Amino acid sequence: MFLQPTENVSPTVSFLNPCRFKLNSTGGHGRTNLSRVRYSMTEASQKTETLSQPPRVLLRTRGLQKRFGNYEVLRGLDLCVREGSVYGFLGRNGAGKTTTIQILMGIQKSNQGVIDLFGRTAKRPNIAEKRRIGYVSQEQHFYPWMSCRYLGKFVSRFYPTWDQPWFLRLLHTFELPMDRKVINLSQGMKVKLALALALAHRPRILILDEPTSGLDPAARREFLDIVSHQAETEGRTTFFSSHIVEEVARIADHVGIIDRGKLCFQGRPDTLYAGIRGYRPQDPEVWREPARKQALVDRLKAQNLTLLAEEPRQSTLVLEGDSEAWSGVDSHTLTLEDIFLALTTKRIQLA
Amino acid sequence: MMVILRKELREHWLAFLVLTILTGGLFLLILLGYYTNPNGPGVHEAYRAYLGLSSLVSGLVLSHFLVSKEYSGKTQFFLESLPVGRYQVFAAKWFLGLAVLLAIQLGMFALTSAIALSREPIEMKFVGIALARTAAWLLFTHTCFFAYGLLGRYRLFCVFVVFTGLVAIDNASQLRLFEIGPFGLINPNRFAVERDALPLYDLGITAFWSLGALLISLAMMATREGSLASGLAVKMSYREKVFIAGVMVAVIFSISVLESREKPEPYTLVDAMAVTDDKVQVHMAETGLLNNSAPREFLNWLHAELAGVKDFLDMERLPPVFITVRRDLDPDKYELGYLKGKDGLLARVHYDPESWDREAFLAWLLPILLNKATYGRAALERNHWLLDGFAFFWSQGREEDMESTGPLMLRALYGTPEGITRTDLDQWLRFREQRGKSIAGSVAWSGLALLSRQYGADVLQNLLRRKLGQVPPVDARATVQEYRNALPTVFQELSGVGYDDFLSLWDRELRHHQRRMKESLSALPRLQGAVKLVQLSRDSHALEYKLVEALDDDTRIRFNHTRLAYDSNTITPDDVYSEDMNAGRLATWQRLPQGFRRGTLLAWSFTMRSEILKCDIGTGWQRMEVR
Repeated sequence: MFLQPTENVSPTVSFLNPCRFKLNSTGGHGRTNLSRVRYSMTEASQKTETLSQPPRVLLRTRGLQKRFGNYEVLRGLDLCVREGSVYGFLGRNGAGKTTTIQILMGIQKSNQGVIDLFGRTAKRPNIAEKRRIGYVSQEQHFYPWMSCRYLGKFVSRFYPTWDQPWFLRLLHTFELPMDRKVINLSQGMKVKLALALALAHRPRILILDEPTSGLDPAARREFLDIVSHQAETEGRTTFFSSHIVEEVARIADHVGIIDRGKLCFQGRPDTLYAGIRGYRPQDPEVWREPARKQALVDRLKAQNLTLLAEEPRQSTLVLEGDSEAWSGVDSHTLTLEDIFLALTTKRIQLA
Repeated sequence: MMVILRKELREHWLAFLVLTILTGGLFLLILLGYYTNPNGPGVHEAYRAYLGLSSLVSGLVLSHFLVSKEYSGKTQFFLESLPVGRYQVFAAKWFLGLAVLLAIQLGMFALTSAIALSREPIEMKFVGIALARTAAWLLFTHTCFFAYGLLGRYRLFCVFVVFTGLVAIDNASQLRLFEIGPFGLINPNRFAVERDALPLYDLGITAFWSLGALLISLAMMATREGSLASGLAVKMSYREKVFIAGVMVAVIFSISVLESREKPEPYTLVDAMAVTDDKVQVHMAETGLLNNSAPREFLNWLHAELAGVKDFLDMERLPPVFITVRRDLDPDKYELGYLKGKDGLLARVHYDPESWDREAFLAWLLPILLNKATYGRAALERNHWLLDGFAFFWSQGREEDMESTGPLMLRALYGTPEGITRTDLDQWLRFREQRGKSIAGSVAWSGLALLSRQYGADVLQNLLRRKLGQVPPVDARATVQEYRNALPTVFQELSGVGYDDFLSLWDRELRHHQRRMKESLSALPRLQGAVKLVQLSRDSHALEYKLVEALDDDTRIRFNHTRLAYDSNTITPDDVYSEDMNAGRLATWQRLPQGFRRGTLLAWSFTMRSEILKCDIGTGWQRMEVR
């Protein structure tokens, strides 16, 4: 087994990255602010992973920052993707998902921070590393004059591990006409072609940048099935970004939620479900009288539960706290979408 | 890199083929011009003309297909996602572009040199120098256009700014940017002329600029964040397009308006006599004569004539006229002075009251004055016969018509032994060069005289007012105005007769009068001359000349010759040298004292004074290259 290079880093340095504080954390009791609660959640998750000897880290970013002029797209992003995992990178439009992936692929340059890829730390991947990555971009910009077969031939020259028979089999499986030119392919076909190209050289890690955007529901489901199947049968590490919660919930075993250039959660979905839950106050006056609501919030806060968001239409408060904090509270599980919205939409600031 | 090269070749082979065919076609056209003009410049000069044009076209096409298309189609993102370095992509594209450019252009160069070696006395050394010039120029254009392609949506704007800047610097300084460095390499006065030494200075500057352009390309390519170039490649927004178009139009408009609005200060002649009003001014500098009554009378007459012209053409004002006296000039020769930034027209004349021909001076002055007053519009070639005809009509021929037997009519008939055609009028400058100014002006006069007689003096006056008297705006509207008031259109509008119908009538009239005055015309000599080159050394030739048909021994004949600039076909009167001698001597070959280097462009003619026609007649100008 591989050991993570930053195993002994203190958790106070980087509280969002589970890879960094897996053994020496204390559970986060007594912490009340949002980030600390989430820290404890990831920490708890990490505890579980450590006990079962977690696989090695294939991809990690440390303090990734990117600015376009005065606009800060990434504000110290710390990702960690382990071997064999399917990592759903969730964020709203403009949160910085594509920028992150383009930095990972060396298409853009970060202003600060580094990438650990296959054990090497650098600002951007080198050619040998890129040969071990399969990449599907958000929009497919293939040469329109190339046929599927010729495109494969062209791309194959860049990958020593290219498996031509498998590529042809993938084209066949994906029902892609080999001699049809790219210009005549539908959007869904282009995405499948991109996936075939990304898989044909048997990459160590598959990076997908919102691959299903622009696909109809049927094509989206078909695509996700293919990715999921690949991950299961080949054990291929997959890192994919999306703003569609449903597809992340469907296939990801790890989730990273990015909000305004910074991760607000990273870990297993069940950890997330356990840490962020819904609570329906018994007293309906809470929604009409601010003083009563404030009193309730204060009471919950005393129990180490923090209010993330409120859903008056569903008479629900979205609360965050570690597993012990929920004892005695009549809470219910939220969907990933509810949690995602609670984490990424405007926060409620209450004293 | 080979993968990228193969991809580029497969993607753009058709574009490369079309480019080769197009440039090859252009080359063949230029070659055709070379073969059909045996006295024209050499084939390397033809190649230079081709090179200048085709390298620009090729550069634009290659930069579009190899660079701009990759960014505008966003396929650059696909390339960048592959495990291939940007520098490899850049190098593949850069070298492929250069290879295509060199293959096309050097192929044509090889053909040019093969033709030159078989037809012209050139040496391999010259071929080598021309090859170095060509290769360096191609490298320069390639690197510049590659950087241009990377500029994306701003490329046209940048080219506009750079070119405008270069022109401005060239005008405002003594740097002569277009005569040194890369532009010096394909300078028309040097490319096919300098045969002994490599232009190392220009090659060095060219290499420097090429390196600069290459570094700019590399910097733009290497800038990440989706690369600067890809950012630039995004199509302009509507607002941006309008803004940039607005800036470009505003710059051009401002320059033209500032130039036109800039009122030049009036020129001043110290101690000059002057006859002026607010519309017409004539000034004459100190003549050195004891009695100024004759010059004063001349000035009064000239002022009256010009005022008459102004009224006849319904013009608001005429530019002031300044006359200075130069005793070293021939009495029948007038020189035009250059008044930089000043208002008016300066004429240098040999004024002697005894021999002064004021009508001839007026005939010389009027076209220049009207041309200046109309900002060059009156002298457009298709209108030019009106301008020349009017000068003679006003100064000498208002009372004459085609029935007369005076010198104007005789000259017109002498100048049109085969009648007059539409081509003669449309290519009037060529016609005038072959006939001489006086003969051609008289031919034009005959047309105006016929027009007046046939359709009335009012029609003639209105036609002249529309074409010579209207002062156009000093901007693009002048071109539109000229297009909408083309001579045939205006003629038809005013006379009710088609322009071509009038030309047929004019032609018939001339032929009729030629029969009428056959005897007088047959008495007039028609000069025919010949020249030949005699080799003095490897690169130097002497020019020998003689008359083909004998004339009376005592007849004075002038052999005129001038060197032509490579970028201009114009014969400048001030640069014309003449050898004056009796016709008897010209029965045998005469040699000019000076030698001529190989590659020199020359023009020559024989002229003589005809007392019957009261003007010079001659062979017309012939052009040749010293080979």
